[in-house]
Amino acid sequence: MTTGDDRIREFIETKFRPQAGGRTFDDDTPLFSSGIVDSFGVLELIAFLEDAFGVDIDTNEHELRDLDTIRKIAGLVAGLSKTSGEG
Amino acid sequence: MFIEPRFVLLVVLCWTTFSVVPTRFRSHVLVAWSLAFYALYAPQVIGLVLGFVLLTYLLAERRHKWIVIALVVGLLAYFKRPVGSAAAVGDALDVQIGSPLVPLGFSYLALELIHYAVERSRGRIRQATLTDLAAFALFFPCRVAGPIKRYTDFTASVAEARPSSRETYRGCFRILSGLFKKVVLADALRRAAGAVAVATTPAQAWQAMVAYSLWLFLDFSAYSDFAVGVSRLMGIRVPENFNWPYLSTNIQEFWNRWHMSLSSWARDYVFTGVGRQLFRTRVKSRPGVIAATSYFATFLVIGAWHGLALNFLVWGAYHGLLVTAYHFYKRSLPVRVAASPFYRSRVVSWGGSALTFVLVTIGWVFFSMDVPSAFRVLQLMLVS
Repeated sequence: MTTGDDRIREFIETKFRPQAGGRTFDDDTPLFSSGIVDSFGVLELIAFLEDAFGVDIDTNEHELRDLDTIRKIAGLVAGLSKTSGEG
Repeated sequence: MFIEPRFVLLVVLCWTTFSVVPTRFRSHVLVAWSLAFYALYAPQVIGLVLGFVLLTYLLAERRHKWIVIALVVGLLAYFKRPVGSAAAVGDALDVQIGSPLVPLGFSYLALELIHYAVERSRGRIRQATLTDLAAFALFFPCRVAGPIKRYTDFTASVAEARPSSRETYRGCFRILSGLFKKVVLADALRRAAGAVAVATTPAQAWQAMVAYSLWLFLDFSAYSDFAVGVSRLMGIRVPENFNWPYLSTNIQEFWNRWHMSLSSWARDYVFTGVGRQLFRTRVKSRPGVIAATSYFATFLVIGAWHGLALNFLVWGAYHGLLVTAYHFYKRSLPVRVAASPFYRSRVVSWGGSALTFVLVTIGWVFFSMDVPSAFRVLQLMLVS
């Protein structure tokens, strides 16, 4: 069984590995501040998270830095899932 | 303008007053001296500019961002409409600092007012006063040729500014750097750039266009140096506009390093909006289509912002094409190639910089002259 973190990591590795020069990603690898994920990559990532986890990421509320590492992304998704579950 | 005695006097008076008044009156000081600037340089548009700032404030307070956007874009389109032939070579900086048709600084003011209305509507600007907005929108060091500021950053910087001898030194140094670029380097290149009009061989055309590329960078970045430097005298930080753009190794990087305050504005208010909307439609399964559409829309807006003449739209579309092509190239690059030592070597990096410079220089042909003339020059450069 795969966890949310694994699915996020798999998506990022599949999409952005060439930009990362083939390096692997750990939970704290900076994605945007290092230039691995560009502006369009942000949009793809948000669309993936919304589809895969059924959350709504409001770009008015969240800054780019909230999505800068796999750990932060997983935390954001977990927080949003909990909020929508409670709602 | 920046070296005229009356402008220098204005800067000194603003700097002195700003340094001595209590922090809570700093915005008032900036508004007062910015109005003095308008009174000196564009008295006929003071009413228009103040009216727009007031209207933006009132509409944004009621979260009517779309009315602000419609009014600003409509007025900008009116001022930017093509009249007569496009700019001749050597006049392109007028595009940056404002053509005679556009009220002084209105191109930059327009983008800042849209930013303010959108962010106020989103709730990212939590508190705003008319005085703070007027200080932000009228701030005269950035009114001529940018950079395009962000409200929250600017108001925080005004509040936190600590005018000091260190800030004065850094501000003066920056102003002198700009002066050197403008007077010594750029003006020397301007004549060489203008020779493209009489070029008859490929070598002459390339030589003139390379001179144009360098001149445009030096001249425009000199204006940014003045703006950053004058702001810095007061301890106020405004965004940087250039980061050695001609050393970029690809076209996407170029746009992260050239006219950065404009490209980041376009990313935040055009590219992201278009892309987000498309990802919520049936084309979401085709990210390539979304990427191409978003990039083209963004660069067409950037082109149109410079002017509604055909040459600027072609220039914008050309960069949309280049960035889209680079996007697909980057996405299709095999990992083993991207990870190879050769691909990451200096040779490839230098090659990328050279290619990017050539492609950008070809783009400046459209930027600097009307379309028929551009095709004549391009034919000389590429086909002869």
